[in-house]
Amino acid sequence: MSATAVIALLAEVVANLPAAISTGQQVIQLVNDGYKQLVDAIGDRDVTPDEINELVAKIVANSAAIQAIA
Amino acid sequence: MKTLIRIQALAAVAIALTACALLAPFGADDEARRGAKITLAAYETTQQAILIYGRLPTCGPLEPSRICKDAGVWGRIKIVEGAATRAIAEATPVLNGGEADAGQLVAALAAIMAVKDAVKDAQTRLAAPPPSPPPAPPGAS
Repeated sequence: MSATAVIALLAEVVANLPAAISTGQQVIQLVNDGYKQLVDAIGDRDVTPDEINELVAKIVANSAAIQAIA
Repeated sequence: MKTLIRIQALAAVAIALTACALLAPFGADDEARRGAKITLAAYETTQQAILIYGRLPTCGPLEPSRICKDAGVWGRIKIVEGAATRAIAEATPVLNGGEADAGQLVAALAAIMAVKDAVKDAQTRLAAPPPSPPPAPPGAS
């Protein structure tokens, strides 16, 4: 299964957003962000080391938030 | 909540599908970084699902039917997530071509897959029906 298929799956989730509205803004934001990131990541343009570093920085920040939850 | 479970599963699938990209032969730096970015983006999405799961109330005996997180599963997710983030950070210079690979990529991939497994476990438990209440003692009205 290709990265294009991953995008198609994400698009399917986006298409079903009305079902997600009752679960909160976080879920909607999650879907939108994930979709945009994967579309961006799979694009044809070159990826710079700075972009990788920026993504890793986000992962580190998210991890800190996860570890802070009891 | 059904959508949350679905998204968790989707994120896990995304990681599985893109994990091979991280291990692909690095014939060109651009291709390597593109594969790495896909994997990292999928992992970041998984973290968002983990954050949502972590913010659920912890399951208690008085509220068996409430949508809640399993304390044991959550503890395991925190451990493997922390390990994965450390492994990713250690692999970043390799992904950017600044250092030679001395096993950092495989270590990062293994750590990410451990997170995927933990998230899958949480997803399975969220989807399971709540446990039945204990039977009433004889004579109880």
